[in-house]
Amino acid sequence: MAGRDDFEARLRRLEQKAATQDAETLTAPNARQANTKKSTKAPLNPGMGNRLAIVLGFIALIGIALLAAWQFRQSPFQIVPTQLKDSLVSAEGWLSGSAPDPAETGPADPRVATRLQTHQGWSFESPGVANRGFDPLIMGDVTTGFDPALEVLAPQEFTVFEANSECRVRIPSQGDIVHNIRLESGNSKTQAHAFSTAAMAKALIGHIEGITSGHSGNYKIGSMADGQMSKIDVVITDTSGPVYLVLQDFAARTIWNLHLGEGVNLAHVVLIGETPAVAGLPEGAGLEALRISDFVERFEFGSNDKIEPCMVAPWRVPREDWLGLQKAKGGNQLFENQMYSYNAGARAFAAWYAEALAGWTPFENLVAVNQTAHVLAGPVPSTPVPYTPLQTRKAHILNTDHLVIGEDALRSLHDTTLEAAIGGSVAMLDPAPLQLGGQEQ
Amino acid sequence: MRPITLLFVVVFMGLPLLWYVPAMIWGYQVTTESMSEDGAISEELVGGPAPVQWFKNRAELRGYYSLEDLTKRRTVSFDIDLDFNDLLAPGESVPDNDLLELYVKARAPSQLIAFCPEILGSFAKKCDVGSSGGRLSRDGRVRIQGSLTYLPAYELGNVAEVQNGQVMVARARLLDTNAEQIATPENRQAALSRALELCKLVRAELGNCLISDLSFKQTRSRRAAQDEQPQLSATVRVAVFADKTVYRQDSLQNEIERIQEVLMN
Repeated sequence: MAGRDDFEARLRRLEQKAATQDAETLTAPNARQANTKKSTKAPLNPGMGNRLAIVLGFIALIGIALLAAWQFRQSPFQIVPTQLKDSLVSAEGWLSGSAPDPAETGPADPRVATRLQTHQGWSFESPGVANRGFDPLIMGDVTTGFDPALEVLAPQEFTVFEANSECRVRIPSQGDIVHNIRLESGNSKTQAHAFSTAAMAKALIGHIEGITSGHSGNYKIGSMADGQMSKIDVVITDTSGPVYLVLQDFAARTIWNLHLGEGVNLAHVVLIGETPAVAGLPEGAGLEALRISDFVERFEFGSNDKIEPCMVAPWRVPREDWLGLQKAKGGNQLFENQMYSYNAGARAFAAWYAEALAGWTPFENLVAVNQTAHVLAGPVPSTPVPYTPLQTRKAHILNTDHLVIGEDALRSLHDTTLEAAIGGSVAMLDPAPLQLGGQEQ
Repeated sequence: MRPITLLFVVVFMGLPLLWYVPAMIWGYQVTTESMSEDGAISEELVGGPAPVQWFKNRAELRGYYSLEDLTKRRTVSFDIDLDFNDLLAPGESVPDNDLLELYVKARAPSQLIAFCPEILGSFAKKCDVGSSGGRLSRDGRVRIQGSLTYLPAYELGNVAEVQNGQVMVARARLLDTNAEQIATPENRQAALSRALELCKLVRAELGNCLISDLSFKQTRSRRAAQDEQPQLSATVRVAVFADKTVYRQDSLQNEIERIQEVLMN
């Protein structure tokens, strides 16, 4: 019995062992797989996932590229993406010194926004008012009734007067208070155009050469004489004595529109410029003018800045805050030369001025700016000075070959002169071809 | 592949695509636009008869040999000395001094087109003002300078079949400067005829000839009397489309001078 029991026990152990081995054999691969899944968490097919990501990436990039091409589809020669346009506008705004966006910085002071430092000193945009201390003033601070919407017209009427033939002016009387206004040019354009016949001929020659040169699209085609006049309001508030006003502009044709404060006695006005004019001159005030080009070459660096008997070109002395002077001091050769001319020219002008005005200097009560539309001569008035628009006034203008009002009149004068010069129709500048048989094409 | 590596691969391989695809699209647009601008000419050239096709896309040759267009490669030039009053119509008053130069330049085209009838005929079948200009000298004399462009009425010869072709130019004097030639229409006509004759001889020898420029110069000495006619001189520049492996520029010039000697004598 014992042998039989042993046999049965061994048989059971063998069966159990076999069953255990089978179970191990059957479960081992799954267990390894489970282990693998647990350790990497990889997808069922590892290579396929990478390829899918690359393909999706490429599709996305091609999509972006096509989108970019669609944005620029209008013309390959006019590609200025919107963002770039925006940045150009911003840059322009920054360069012109315009005020930052009030939405970002809060309300900007309109007085400060009208004032801009340039290479050649302060410039004031209307309604900013140039003044001795370059303070940020606007027209509302010194005048009443100023309307910027009426700023582009011309005087009602012009009366022509002759320039001084000699570079002399009336010497200020005892007690006169000399005020000097000196600037490069005005920046408030009017509809008046004053120019010489020579300037018109030069422009028309450019036009003809543009047509006859054989190069299409020449930039000179359509040229007209550049004689558009600017208006500068001069608000005079000095009541300490008779005012002797010397109005000087360098490179422009200026209509000086005078506004006298209460109690102001304007004794005499001297205009120094190319074709200056003055409006609002009170009864009894003297008027005389010097045309710069009658005595020296017009504005030209290195040319009209020498000391000479009639150096009437009104150069300004560079100030420390001029950007041009700062660049010159930084070694910029262009501005070194320019500032040298300004200094030398100002010295030469001062020499002539002192001699012509019996010892007065051109720095007396001086307002000297680069560009402006309004100037204050005297202190800020306690009561604003009534403003009179230019188009309601008569003006005195230095003699000029041509004075026209408006673009149509300007164009018409040029057309008439050109046709007279051609001796017939403008079409004769580009005559039709002739061919055998006498037919014109 | 690790995700960061994957990102690098996608970005660096994809960046060129960002440039490439728009560039190709723009390139297509440029091609389309340029084709549409010149389309008419291109079609005409492709479809035209010989010798049109051979100079297709060769601007210089088209300038010399296109029989459709007036070009600056075929001109009759003038350099004329005048009194300012010669520019004015009968009874017309002299303008302001500041306008004198303007008048000179403004009237130059009509002065030049007046010569067109003289060259139309055996020399040209169509004529136009190519360029014009004028100057006023200090002594009040006027110089009108400019050129007429023309379509030749004469045979050019065989240019289409020239192998290794290159345009060669040579100059020749047409009027004997020793003999005084007055600037008259007859003398200008004589110069035109001589230019055509010269070109005919060149064509006979070299296969083709084109008068690239016939230049007239009318001058008057400062001491000349007011009513004295100005003197005329004339030179010609001929162009030959020649095999550059056979001919050289200087050999052509020698040949032209030899023919010119024959003509002048």
